This record gives sequence, structure tokens and C-alpha cells, in this order.
Amino acid sequence: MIPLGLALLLFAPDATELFTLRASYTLKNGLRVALEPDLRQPWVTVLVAYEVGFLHDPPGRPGLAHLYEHLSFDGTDFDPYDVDAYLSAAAALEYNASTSLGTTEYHVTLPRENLALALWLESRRMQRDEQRRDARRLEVHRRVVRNEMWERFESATDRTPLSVLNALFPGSFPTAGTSLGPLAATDVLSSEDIRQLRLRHYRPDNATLVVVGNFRSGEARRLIDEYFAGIPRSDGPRPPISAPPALTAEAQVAHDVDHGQPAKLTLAWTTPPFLHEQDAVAGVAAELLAGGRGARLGRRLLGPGGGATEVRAVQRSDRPSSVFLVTVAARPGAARADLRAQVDATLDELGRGPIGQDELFRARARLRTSAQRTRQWRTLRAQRIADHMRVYGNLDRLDGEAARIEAVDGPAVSRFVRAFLVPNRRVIVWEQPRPAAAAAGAAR
Amino acid sequence: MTVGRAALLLAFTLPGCATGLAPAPAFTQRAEIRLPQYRRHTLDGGAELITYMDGSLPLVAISVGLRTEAADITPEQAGLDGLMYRAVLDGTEAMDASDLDDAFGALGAKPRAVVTQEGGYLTVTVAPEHAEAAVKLLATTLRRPRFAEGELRDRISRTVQREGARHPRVLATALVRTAVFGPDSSLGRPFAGTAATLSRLTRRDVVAFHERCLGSSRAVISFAGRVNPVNARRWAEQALADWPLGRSGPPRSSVAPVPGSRRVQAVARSGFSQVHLAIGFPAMAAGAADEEGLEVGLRLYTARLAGNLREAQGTSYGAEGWLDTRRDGGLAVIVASVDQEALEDTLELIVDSLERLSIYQPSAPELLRARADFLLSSARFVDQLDDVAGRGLELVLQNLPADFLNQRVRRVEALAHTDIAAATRRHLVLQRMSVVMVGDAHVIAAQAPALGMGPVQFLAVSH
Repeated sequence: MIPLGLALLLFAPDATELFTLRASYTLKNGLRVALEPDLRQPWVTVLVAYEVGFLHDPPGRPGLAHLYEHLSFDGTDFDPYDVDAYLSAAAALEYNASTSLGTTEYHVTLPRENLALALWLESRRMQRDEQRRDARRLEVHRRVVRNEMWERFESATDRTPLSVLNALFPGSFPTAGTSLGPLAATDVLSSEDIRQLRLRHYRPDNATLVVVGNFRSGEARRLIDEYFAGIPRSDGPRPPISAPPALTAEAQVAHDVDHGQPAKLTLAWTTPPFLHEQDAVAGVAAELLAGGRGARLGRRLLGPGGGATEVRAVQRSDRPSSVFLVTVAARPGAARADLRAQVDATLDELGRGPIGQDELFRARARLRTSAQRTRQWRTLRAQRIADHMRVYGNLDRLDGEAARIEAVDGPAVSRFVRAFLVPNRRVIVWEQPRPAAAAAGAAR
Repeated sequence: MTVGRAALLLAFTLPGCATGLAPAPAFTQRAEIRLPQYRRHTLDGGAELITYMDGSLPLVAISVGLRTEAADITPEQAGLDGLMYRAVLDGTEAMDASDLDDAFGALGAKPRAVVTQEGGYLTVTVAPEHAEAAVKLLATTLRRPRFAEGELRDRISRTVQREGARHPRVLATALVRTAVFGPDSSLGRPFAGTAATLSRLTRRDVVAFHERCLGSSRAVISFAGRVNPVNARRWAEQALADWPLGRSGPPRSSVAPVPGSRRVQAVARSGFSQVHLAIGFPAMAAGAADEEGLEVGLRLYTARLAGNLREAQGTSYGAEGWLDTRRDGGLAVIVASVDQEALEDTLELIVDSLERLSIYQPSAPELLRARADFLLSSARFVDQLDDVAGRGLELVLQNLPADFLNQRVRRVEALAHTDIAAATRRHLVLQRMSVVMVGDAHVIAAQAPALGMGPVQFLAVSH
């Protein structure tokens, strides 16, 4: 016997229809819910996104939201449930969590039969009691977070984004103002800080629940009611969410990297958030700048005689703010001033226009393919759905990505460049290889 | 679309919580694993075609590749294959690098070169209406590269720079392969090359290597996604129509000798708070009888190590292990980045746990979990269409049958505890272990004796 889902895939003329039987609603306690069936595989993905991130950390308490993300997988003295133990036992294909500027999200992909377990675990996370936190576990998690930061940011390849974020959002990151070594900020976070964070942010009216994958809609609704509808709405107002102020003057950061690493120039701007109309324009601009060897920075800087060995441009879409990055890995001997001038000249040309129809066609074509490819990634799909729910409260515009890309024309890109990618709103990071002798001495 | 299926029975129950909240729902369930079931055809001229139909999205992933034999590259030419497969994207006889990129861009594609020990391939994902043009462009790119002298020198310089920027754990992982097999074996040669080997390579080397490999008898094309197999075959035949036959016959394996002595090596890097560890053991070739037993055993061991380092002590963000089996042999790897203050304890833990492995009896839940973890990871590796196309092509490069992935699921399900224990005892043993560490020289020199493997050999790695 062929299962229904497989039969649909075999015989449906256009199986993308499978994605369109979606639903969205809000529970009385304020929890936003979105359901999107996707019958291609026997898996279901559950994602819960809370509107709390690095930008919500209290003054002097950077790293709090991220530390809590780790802690929330553990049990407490009062409630010994352990998310790791359940999910690894329940044949989870993948589970993880992440903390970004304004969001902490938890996701799991597991067999469709285990949807109830995933929802139960997330309902526990939403209503746990932090007053009985085990002090020893807190210390273990501090160490794990420290190791995560070291692992991600101590290598030169990953240090750039940290420098950029520290400069764009001063004071918001646990490593700000340190040499990455002591991570002192994480050490001072107390049990009371953690309890307060949970009370303020881990509440149904500050969260979005998304279920994507192979499930029956009626059953999913029933389970969501069973596990989430009884969680009381919080009394206090929702914590405010505001975009960080944009820079008003160019900020410059320079630091050494290990010998053997390339010199690198990075320019970064805060740009409009995900789903803002300018977000799609920014994506096209990034593609026009560095989508490949034939893009503008590729033609100007790559290849024999060019000053760079690699160029990248990307709009990192996020909420409440996105970050637009241009990164240039310098060829040995290339001068920083020259590279910067070349990037500025390219931005200036893009800002002035005109932009050729052929290059716009290529940029849009690549973005269209990319948009389709991302539909394969269940977690990313769930994140996008959660963002739509946060911004619009429904999924009416979810299928509009291709249309948004198609609507971007040359003048729109030029206007975006002139409005956002300007010198007085940017951070410039220059990484310079440490001289060989100094590196050898340090390493002995 | 046809899919292979397997089910694994999980029999876990965890104690509910006495908190007054809703009790945990039952989750003893069957987890289906659906893996692609490829169709394989041999075309006129000997090229192999692999297809997998999946109409769920308007996308087709296409890969066009060539088989490499171990004898095609000498140890002094390490990195030549990677250079060649990437350099073909720097222009064809008719198009320079920028124009070629534009040609792919017009199809909505970003081409990518993938290099394995058995060969290399170019891959793109496109909308179905561009599939015919895409396979033709990929074949032309691979068939008629420009290999301009200036571009090649630039590509070499970029490769050296890129390799120098590797994360220290990636560096340790790359070096442990050479530590296990030795630099002169086809399995142990520095896969990406070194500054020394790369800078010696000339255009003549690249052209000669390309000529050795190019030929329809060595070609493999794979399609995955919304594509009709009849069309796929026609397009593949058209794309390869002007290809030379090339060398025929099955690939010659060069089985690498396993070194008699184990190695402990290090690369000094200052400024890190962690030491990045890679531990390697020689293992079997892909498709060998005890491959699945070792895979599951390695996962059992790594899960326990990660539990100790992360959950119990907090001295690492985690540890992971995998079995990299290739056509000519395999490597079992465990990697972790640990707080340098805990290096000695970590090394003692590794030695102690390996010594105990021969008498260790995993619990039934542990065993089930490790087996499930392996099967689930098989599903993860073919979760996207480009993964499906690439994995299908690599099956051919490795001389594995088209239904290998599904066969393996059945073998894993049939594994007995004794199979896992035997494979683990045979391969994960201290006497066959090599270790590479990247981090502070003082810390490593002072704490590495905990391994009991003698003095550390510090490597002068230029990149």
C-alpha cells in the first residue's frame, strides 16, 4: 500500500501544492501558532521562537539570553525533565537552539509520531520554574558557553563578525571589551538574573510556535491546545523591541590576526529588518556586488592583477535589524586604502546607476533558485514562518518572496545603496596579519 | 519517485516528572528512514548516469564529475586534483572566468566544485526549465577548460591563503589523516595540498592531470529532483557527445599501507584558550563487512566522551566522531576542542575510556540510540537535492552499488551487539591511535604525556 503522502508526491502534477495547506492562529494567552504541512518526508519540525536576544540583555549583563538558552535544556531541582535525554531517545533527526540579536529559538526535527513529545517538551520550557536552579549545573553551563565562544570566535576566520557586531551594537555581546579570554560577563550572571529573564521573556504572548512537516492538522491543533492553551498569559506588558540606533559616524576597528591568515577588509552597516520592503532590495544589491566572479566586485577585485582573493557581500536578515556585510580578503601586498577605495567606487557606481538589465536578470535568477532551495531546509522554513507571524500575525505574505525579488528594479537598488550603504553609518574592520617573527615568538 | 524504507524500533521510556504538569506523552514509535533509491545506467562510451526523481519542488540538482585513480597523483603533487576541479571554473576556451560565471548566473545557478579522494565534480541546482542547459554548460566547463596561466597562479595563491585560514580544529582534522596513513600513501597525502606542493604545481601538471582523467569512460552524471529520467539520459548523452573515450577499465585501487607506529603530533598556535584535538584510527574501505559495526561503535564511544566533556564537566562545547570510509580505505575520527586547562584530564579520559572499551558493555538503550543516530545521520546527509545528487555520484566513484544506502540500513538493523563490540575492539584501540593537537605549545608539551605516547612531534605547518 502506498501511503497517502507518497501517493501525492507520485501523482500530483505540482507537488508544491503540498506546502499551501497551512494555517495560522493565536491562542487566548497570546501564543502565535503556525502550521505548514510538508509531506515529503516522515518528519515533523517544531520551532518555538521567543522575542529575546542579545539586544534584550540588561545593561552589564551581556550574554544572559544566550546562557539561558543553554540552561533551558536542563532540568531543575523542582522539575528534573531533561530535553536532551528525551530528544536523543526519541530519534530526533536534529535539534538545536540559537540566540541572535532579537530572538532565541528552539527547534527539533523528529519522527512525525513524536509530535506530541516535542510539543510537550516546549510547553515545559515555557512554564518551567527557575527558582530551584542547581548551582553546579549553572557553573557547568557557564563553562560550556565559554568554550562555545572560544570555539566560534577565537579563530581568525570567525573573529570578524564579532568585531563587527561589537562595533555596531556596543555592549550587547558577552565578549565586548574583552580579549575573548576571560568572558567575565558570563561569570557574573546570577540565578536571579536568569529567573528575571525567564519571567520577562519566556511567556506565551512573547513567543511563536511553528509546526512544519508531516502531521495531521487536526491532531496538531488538539495537542497544541492540550499543552499550551493552559499556560497563563503574563500580567506585565511585553518587553519592548526596538531597533538599535544606527551609527552616525564611521567607526573603524583594526586588529591583528595570526600569521598565515590573510589581511581582510570588512565593511558593515545596519539595514532594515527581515521582511521590510528594503530587505529584498538589499539581497539583490548583495548579489549584484559579489554574487560571483562576474558580479561588480568580482570583476573589479578578483583574478590576476586584482587586489583581492575573495569578495563577499551579504544581507544578514534578522530582527529587529539586519546587517549588510562586504568582506574583501586581500591579496598579499594589497593596500587597505586601495581596497577600500575600490569598494567605495563600486558602491558609488551602484548608487548612481544605471544597472544593466542583464545583471539584474542574473541576480534575480540566482535569488529565485536560492529561495526555492531554502524550502528544503525545514528549520529555516520554520524560522521564516515564525518571522512572518511576528511581523504580520499571519502567513498571507509567505509565498511572496519570489514576487518581492521580481519587483526589485535598478533604481530601487541604487536608492538603497545611497540611503543605507553610506560611509557615516558603517563600521570598517581591518585585520592585519601579525608579523611572522612576533607570531613565531609567541608560539615558540 | 521510489524510496527505500526502513524502520527502527525505539523502545525508550523516560520517567515522568512528578510536578503536577501534564505527564510526558508516550514516544515509543517507529522512525521511518527514507533514503533515495537511485537508478543507474551506463551510457555509450562508458559514462555512468545516476538519477533520482523527486517532484516536490521545482528544482533539479545536477552533478558532472570524473573518477580519479590513486595513481593519477604523486605525493609531491598533493592538491593537484582540488586545483584542477576548481580551476575549470576559471574559464573555458570560449569564456573567461567572469563570462562563465555570468553564463551560470543566467540559469540561476552558482556552480560549486567538490573534490573527493576518488574524483571530483561540478554541481549546480537550477529550475527544471534550465536543467538541459545546465548539464550542457557543466560538461563544457569540465571538457574545455581554459587553464590560463595567470588564473592558475592566482588560484594556487588563493588556495594557499584559504587553507591557511582554516579553523584550528579543521587543521587538526586534516593533519590526523596524514598522521595515521603517512604522507606517501594515497590516503594520507595532504588532501588539499600544502604551500610547498601547491606552489610547485605548473600549468603542465594541471593540463596533464586533466587529460588523464577526462573521458566518457570516467565520467559520471547525476540528476536529482524534478526531472524525467528519459530526458536526463538524453541530455547526458548530448552533453558528453564530444568527449573523448578516455581510459577504460575499472579504477585501480592503491591500498595504502597502515603505518606500524602511531603518532602524536602538534601544531603550535598562540592566542587560543582551547586545544583543538583530532584523534584518528585506520579503518576499513567503504562497503567492507564490519563498516556498520564500527560506525555504531564509534558513535557509542563519542556520545560518552561528549557527555563527559560537555554535560559533566563543561570543558568543551562538544565532541564528534565519524567514520570516513573511502574506496581504498577508511579513517575513524574523533574531534573536540577543549579548555586548555583541562587538556591533561581530557587526554587521560580518552586513554582510559579506550582501554576500557574492550570490557565495556553498553546498555540496550545506549546501543539503540547509537544505531538510530547512525541511521538518522544517513538521512541527514541526503536531506537536500544537491546532497542527493552528490551522494549518488560519489557512490559510483566509490564503486558502490546504486542501492548501497538502503542496503546499509538493512545491515545496521541486523547488527548484533557482538558485531559492534568486535568491530570496535578491532579498530578503536590505543595501539592504532594517532593524535594531532593544535594550540599553545607550552600547554601541549606539558600535558600531552598523559597520552603515554612519548614526546610530541611539533610540525612546522606553513599553512
